[in-house]
Amino acid sequence: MRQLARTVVGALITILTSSFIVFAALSASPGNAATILAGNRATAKTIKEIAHRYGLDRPFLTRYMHWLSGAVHGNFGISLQYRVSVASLLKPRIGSTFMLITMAGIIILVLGVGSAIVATRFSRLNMPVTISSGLFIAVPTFVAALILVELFALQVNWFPVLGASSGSISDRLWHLTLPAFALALSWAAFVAQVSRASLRGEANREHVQTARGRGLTESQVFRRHVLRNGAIPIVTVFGLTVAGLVAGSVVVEQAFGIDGIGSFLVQSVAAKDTNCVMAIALILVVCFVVVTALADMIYWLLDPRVRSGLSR
Amino acid sequence: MDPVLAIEHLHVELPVRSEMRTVLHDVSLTIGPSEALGLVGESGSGKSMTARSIMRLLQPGAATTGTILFEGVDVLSMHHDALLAFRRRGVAMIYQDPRAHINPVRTIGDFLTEGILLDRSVSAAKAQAKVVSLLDEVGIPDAKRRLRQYPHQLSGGLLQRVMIAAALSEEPRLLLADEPTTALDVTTQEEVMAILDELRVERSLAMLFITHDLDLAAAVTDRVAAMYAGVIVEVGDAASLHTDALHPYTVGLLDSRPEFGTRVRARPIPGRPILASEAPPGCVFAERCPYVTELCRSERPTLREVGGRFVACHRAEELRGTISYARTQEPR
Amino acid sequence: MSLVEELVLERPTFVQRVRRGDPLIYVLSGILILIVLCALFAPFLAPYPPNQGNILAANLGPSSAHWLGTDQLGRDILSRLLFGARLSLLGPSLIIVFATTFALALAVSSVWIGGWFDQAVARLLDTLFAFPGLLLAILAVAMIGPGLLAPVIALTLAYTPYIARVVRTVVLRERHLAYVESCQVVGLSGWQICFRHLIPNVSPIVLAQATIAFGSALVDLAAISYLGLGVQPPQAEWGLMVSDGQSALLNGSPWESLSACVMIIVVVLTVNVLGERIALRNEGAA
Repeated sequence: MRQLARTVVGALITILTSSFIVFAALSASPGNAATILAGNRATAKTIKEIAHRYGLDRPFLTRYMHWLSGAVHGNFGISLQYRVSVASLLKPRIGSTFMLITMAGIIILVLGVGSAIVATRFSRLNMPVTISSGLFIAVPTFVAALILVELFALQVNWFPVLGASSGSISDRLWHLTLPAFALALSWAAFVAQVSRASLRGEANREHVQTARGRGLTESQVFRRHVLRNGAIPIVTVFGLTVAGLVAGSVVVEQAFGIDGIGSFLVQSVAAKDTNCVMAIALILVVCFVVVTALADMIYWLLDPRVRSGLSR
Repeated sequence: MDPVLAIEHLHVELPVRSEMRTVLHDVSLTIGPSEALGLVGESGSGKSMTARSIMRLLQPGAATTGTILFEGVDVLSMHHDALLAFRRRGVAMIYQDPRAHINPVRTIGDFLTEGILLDRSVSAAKAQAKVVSLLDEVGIPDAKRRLRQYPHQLSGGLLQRVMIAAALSEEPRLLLADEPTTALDVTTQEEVMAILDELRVERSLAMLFITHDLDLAAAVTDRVAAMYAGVIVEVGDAASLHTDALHPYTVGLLDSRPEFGTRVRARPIPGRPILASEAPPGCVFAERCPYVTELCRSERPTLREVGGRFVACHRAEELRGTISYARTQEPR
Repeated sequence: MSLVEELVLERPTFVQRVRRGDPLIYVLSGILILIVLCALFAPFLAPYPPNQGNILAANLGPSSAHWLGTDQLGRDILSRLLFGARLSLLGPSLIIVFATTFALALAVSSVWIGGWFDQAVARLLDTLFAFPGLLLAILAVAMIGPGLLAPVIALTLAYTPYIARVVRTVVLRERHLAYVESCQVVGLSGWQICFRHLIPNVSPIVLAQATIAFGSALVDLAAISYLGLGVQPPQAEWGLMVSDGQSALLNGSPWESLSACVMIIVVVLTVNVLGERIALRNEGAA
C-alpha cells in the first residue's frame, strides 16, 4: 500500500514539475501572445489593451497558477490562432487519436508479443521472427506510412488513402487501419525483440528445468514458468511503447491527413499558437506519466519480490 | 534383486558452438533398491551431467549412446508419455542451489503441489493436505503459513527442505541428489543431510548422491564411485574407501584433504583437473598419474573387478596398497 | 613452476585480432564509412547542384540523365540524396556524441558518489528515459523556432537519460568488481580509477548502445523534418525529401519519397546490426 501511495505521489510531482517547465518554456517564447492576438495592423496601444484584457501583463507566477487551475478544470484559455477556446478545438480531435493509438496497441500486442511467444515455444520459427523483427524495427513510422500507402492504398486499393472520416464506427476503423499499422509496425518489432529476449532468458533458467524434470509437458512448462515470469519485463516495455505511440501518432496523423491531436499540435507549433501547444503538451505529459505509473503498478502486482521491497 | 538403476557405457556429447564436445566418455554404474551410491568428483568431472542424462534433461542436440535402465526399461529409448511418467513417479531430483531452482514468483505451496496436481484426479484440498504433512516430515513447522509464502522469504536451508519435500511428494523410487548441501553453510548442511538420510531410509529409496566431498559421501552412502574427466575410475564399498582405494586418482583425492591437528602442508595432486573434452586417447588420468606407463597413455582402461572393488586402471593389482604421492616416481 | 609456464597467455598481435574479428562488423562499418564519404564528397560526386531545378522536367522517373529521377521542382533526386546525407547524418552524430558524453559523466559520477545521490539519479533516469524525444523536439521548436538547432538540443536532452540508464547499470556492475577495491587500497584516486579503469572497461557496451541510439536519433530528426519543423526547404535532407515527395507519390511518382525512405532504412539497419554485433563481441570476450 505504501508503494502505491509513493507511486501516485511521485506521478503528481512529475506532472506538476513538467507543467511548470512547459509553461515557463512556452511563455518565454518569441511571438508575444498579445501581439498575435491583436493581429497584423495593431498599434502599441491595442496590444497593451489586449494584454491587459487577457491577463498577459500579470506577473509570471500568477499567470502560471491561473493557467494551472484552469487546466485542472479543462479550461486552457483561448487559441491565439482561432480565437475560440482551446478545449473546444481539442475535444473533437481526441477521439481520432485515441482510436488510432488503441488500434495500434492491439496490433502490437498480437503481432509483437504473439510472435515472441511463438518463436520461443517453437524454436524452428526463431530465425524468421528474429530477422523480420530486426528488419521492421529499422523502418521509421513515417516511412512505414508511406510504403503502406503505396502498397495497399495506391497499388491495390484496399484502403483509403487519406482522412479519418467521421462516419460509422466500422468506417472509421477501416480508415484508420493503414495508419494504425504504420504506427504499430516498428513498435511491434521492438516489443517482439524485447519479449523474445525476456522469454528466452526465462526459458534457460534453472527453475524451468526443475519443472521439466518433474514431468510437466512442454506447454505446461512454458505456460506456468516461462510465460508467467517473462511477462514482467514485457509489461514494462509495453508502458514504454505506449509513450512512443503517442509521439508516433503525431507523425502518422500528419502523413495520412488525420485530424487528431497530433497533427493539431504540429499545426499550432507552426502557427505559434502557444496556448494550444501548452495545452496539448500538458495532456501528453499527463498521459505519459499516468501510463508509466500504471506500468509500475502492474509490475508491482506481478512480481512478489518487488512487493517485499527487494530491488528489481 | 534387479537394480533400480543400471547405466552401461553411457557416452554423451554436447554441441558447443559448432562442434560436438564429449562430456561423458564411459559411465557405468548400478544402484540397487534402497541403496545409496555416492558419485564423487571435482568440478567438470561430469557428475551433474550423469544425473541430467538419467532424466534426459540435456540440451537439445545432445548425442547420447549407451543404455540407462530404470527398473529394466531403457530410459534413453522411452517415448514421450513413458518419459513423462518416469519423471513424474519414477525418479526425482534435488538440486544444488534451491533459490535458483524454485520459481521466485510463485508460492511455496504452488511449487509443492505442482507435481501432485498433474494427476487430474487429485483434488486441491487433498494435495494441500499431503503437502502439509510432507513439510512436517522435513521439519518445517507452521506449514500452512509457509505455503502462502514466496521463496525469497525463506532461508537457504528451509528452501532446500522444501525441495526435498517436493521431490518426495510423488513417491519416486529413485532419488538424484546433486550436491544438495554445497550451497548451504556448515550447520545447515548437517541438518539437511540428517533429514535427507532419515527420509530416504524410511522410504527405502535408492539414491544417487553427487558431491565433491569424499568424507560426506563415505558417511551417508553404501558405495562410492569416483569420477574423473567423464569417466568412472573406481567404484567400491564406502566403509573401506579410506583404506582400500585402488585408483591413483582416488588415493590422491583422499591424500589431498587437509588434516586437522597437524601442521603438515596439504598435498594436492600435481597438475590441474581436466574436462572430459580435453582427455587424451589413453587413460584420462595419464597426465597427472605418478605411475603412468606407455600402455596407460595408449589404451583407455575399462572398469574391472579387483579385490571386491571396481577400478579402471591397468596397474591396479600391482600398485595395490602402495600408492603414495609423498614423493614423485619416475615413470617406467 | 611448469604449471605457471603452461598457463601464460600471449597478447594477440593486431593482425591476429583483425583476422579473428567478426567479419560482419567490418562489412557494416565499411558501408557506413562509404555513406559518410559520399556525404562528405557530395559536391564532387553529385551530377547536379542540389537546388537546381527545371519545372518542365518535374516528377520524371529514373533515366540516364537522372538516375533516380526528379522531384516536383525538377531537381535531381540523386544529387539531393547525396547532399541530404550531410544534414541527415550530421544531426544524429552531434546528438549522440553529446548525449553519450553527458550520459557517461552523469552515470560514472552518480555510481562513484553512490548513496542517496545515486538512488535519486537512478529514480530520475527510470522516469525520464522513456519520454519520447520527438515530443520534446516539437516543444523545443515551439520555443525557439524551426530549424536544426532546437531539435538537436531537445534530442540531446532526451537521449541522455536513455543512454545514461544503460551506462549506469554497466558502470554499477563494474564498480563492484573486486579490482576496483584493490585500486582504492593501492591508493589510486577516484579520477584515476574512473578514467583509467572504469570507463575503458565499459566502453564496448557504451559504444554498442550509442551506435544503436544513433539510428533512433536519425529517425527522430528525419521525422521532425518530415513534419516541417526541422530542416527547412529548399535545403536537402532525407526526412524533408520524404514529405516533399509525398504528393508526388500520391500522384504516381514515388521516386523522391521512396529513395529517401530506402536511404534511411539502410543506415538504420546497418547501425542496428552493427551495434548488436559489437555488444555480442563484447559478451563473447567477457
